[in-house]
Amino acid sequence: MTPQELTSALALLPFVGEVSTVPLSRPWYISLLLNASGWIAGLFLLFFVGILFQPKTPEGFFFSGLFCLSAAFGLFAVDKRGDFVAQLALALSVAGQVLMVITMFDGKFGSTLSLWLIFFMQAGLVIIMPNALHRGLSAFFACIALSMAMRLSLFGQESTHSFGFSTFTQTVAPTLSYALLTWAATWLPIAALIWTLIRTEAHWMAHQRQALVRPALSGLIVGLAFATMASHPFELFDMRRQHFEDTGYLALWPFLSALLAAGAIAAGFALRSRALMGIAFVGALIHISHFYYALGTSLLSKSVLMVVMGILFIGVAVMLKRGAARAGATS
Amino acid sequence: MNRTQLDAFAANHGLDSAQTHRALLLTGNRPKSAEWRAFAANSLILAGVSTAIAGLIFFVAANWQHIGIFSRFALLQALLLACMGIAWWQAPLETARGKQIFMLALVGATFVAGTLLALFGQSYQTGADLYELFFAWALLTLPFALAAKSDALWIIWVCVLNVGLALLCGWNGANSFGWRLFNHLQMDKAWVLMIPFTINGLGALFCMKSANWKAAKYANCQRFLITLALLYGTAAGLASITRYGFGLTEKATMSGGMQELILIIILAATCVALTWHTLNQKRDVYPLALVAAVSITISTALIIQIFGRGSDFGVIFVIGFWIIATSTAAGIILMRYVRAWHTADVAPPQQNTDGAGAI
Repeated sequence: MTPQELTSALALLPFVGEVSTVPLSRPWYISLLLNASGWIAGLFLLFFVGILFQPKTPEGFFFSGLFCLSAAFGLFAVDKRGDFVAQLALALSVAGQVLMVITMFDGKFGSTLSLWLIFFMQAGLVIIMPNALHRGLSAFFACIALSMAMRLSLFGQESTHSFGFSTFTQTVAPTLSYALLTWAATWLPIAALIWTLIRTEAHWMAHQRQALVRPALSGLIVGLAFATMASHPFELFDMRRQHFEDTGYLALWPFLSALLAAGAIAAGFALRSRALMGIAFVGALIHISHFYYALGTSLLSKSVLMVVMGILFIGVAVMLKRGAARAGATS
Repeated sequence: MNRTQLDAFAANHGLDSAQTHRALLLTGNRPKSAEWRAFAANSLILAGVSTAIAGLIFFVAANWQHIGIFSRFALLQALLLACMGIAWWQAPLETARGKQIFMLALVGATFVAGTLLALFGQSYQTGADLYELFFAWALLTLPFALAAKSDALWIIWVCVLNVGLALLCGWNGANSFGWRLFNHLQMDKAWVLMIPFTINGLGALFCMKSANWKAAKYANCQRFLITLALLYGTAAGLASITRYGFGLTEKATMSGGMQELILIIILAATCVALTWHTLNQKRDVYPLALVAAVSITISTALIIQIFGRGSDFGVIFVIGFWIIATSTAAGIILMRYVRAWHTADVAPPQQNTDGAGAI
């Protein structure tokens, strides 16, 4: 349906210059190119700022970070269409965010509080930064920060090193109900937020909130598909990890992540976004691959479980198709 | 109209909630309940087949001692035969359901064939390199990909082949058969990476030129092949730049520098040819985005190589701003082509004959 056809279907007065004002969305691969370039440039700018200001104290990092974030905001505000200086602004923002993260972890706040502060910083950046790409990224990072903050808040923490990076592992082996509760407390609010935003789409579109909500919604959906993995990337496939060998149920954890990814695929379908569906599908595949490496149960049990689940899925699908065919025949 | 266009439409006309809701329905941006049911059923079938295949692979990997070797082979071969039988049975059916089952059966057969080969390697310790498994897998399942005539199955097949190529050309050490062969030819690692670059590039070229493969249904496979070719090409370019730097660093020898220069010229010529083809076709901006990504990566590596890798204030500044400037320019140019070619798609033919170009 063209804008002109929709105008007459809704019995609206024609809008002058309709064709020229209807924009095309940026294809995912151009966004990816800009995003990746912005991030790499941001890391170079981070070194540049480091050499220029030579911050050594948490206050020094904080003010350098604030300077970068303010500059990024100013550039985004000047170039609202994101054509010319948006990449510079994104790079400055990346540098600023990294400096802020250093401030928090260096500022004797402790890891848990730092992660909560990062979560609130990212949530704030979603609202403040007037750029779609940035809003999407910030929403995604907010999901990661929330997942890590919830985990450390509820299970305690211990700094370890794997693959040369500092990561965090729980000191307390959680009971199944406690672990499920944490999972639900972290992800169900995000899932509910996505569901609500999709349900109320017409409402926020009518109130001119597209520029804010649309990219944030995309970021949340990507977060739902990937954040469980992105929040502990270096522990995920670490075969040497021996922390919770006795807690066999943790082997099933990737299925919960895959369930979230399936929810993200459904959200992508609701928004008719093939890009979001594709990203979420990749997330689901990675979660299933993670299941292969997850400790706690034998590979044989996993294989039986997978085959049984596969048969169940196909059975339900056949029932759904038959139901749809019957409904079609009666109507 | 997609959601981005609807967003602008709603803002321009000042639509209220009810009108926006109606606009979402009228433009088909809200799936109906029947569409949801079909989506759920199709997703469950896909999830079911993938999960069952993954379970089967896990089962073989588990190496369960209670089942003998003969039984394991019998189980997998029976499954392979079952998949092929289902595909054979459904092949003549022209219904959507028949085509779907045919396709899923061939996907299943492709994965079971790979699992069977893995079981063979696991059971008999043939001493073969891992890449040989993937090449044998690709060869065995080529008929399935040819029969399916499906973008998705071709992508899976290309993945299998490229895992083999990556293992042979990029991953395996000097003791493998492949590397011994290349060592006899005195090929540098960067040039070895040009082998998968050439294979994928030729595949992409075939897709672009062949009448059957030009069809939109193979568009994703074509994109995938171009991406893989340029990925290997970029890796080769980076390997050559960081190693020799075209004689610009003290380490380089003249012959080494010349070889690497030739490699970069081949990569650049490929990018130019791809750009020329894409600009002529005026259909898909994706290859141009890839060319932009390759150009930014290689040029940045060159700057680092020429001006030094230390923590010099000026160099870091130049690199950061080079990436920002080139990616900004790429973003602007690519979006202009997206707009221009989209307009060319929807505009009447007589309005698109001025040859004014995309910008």
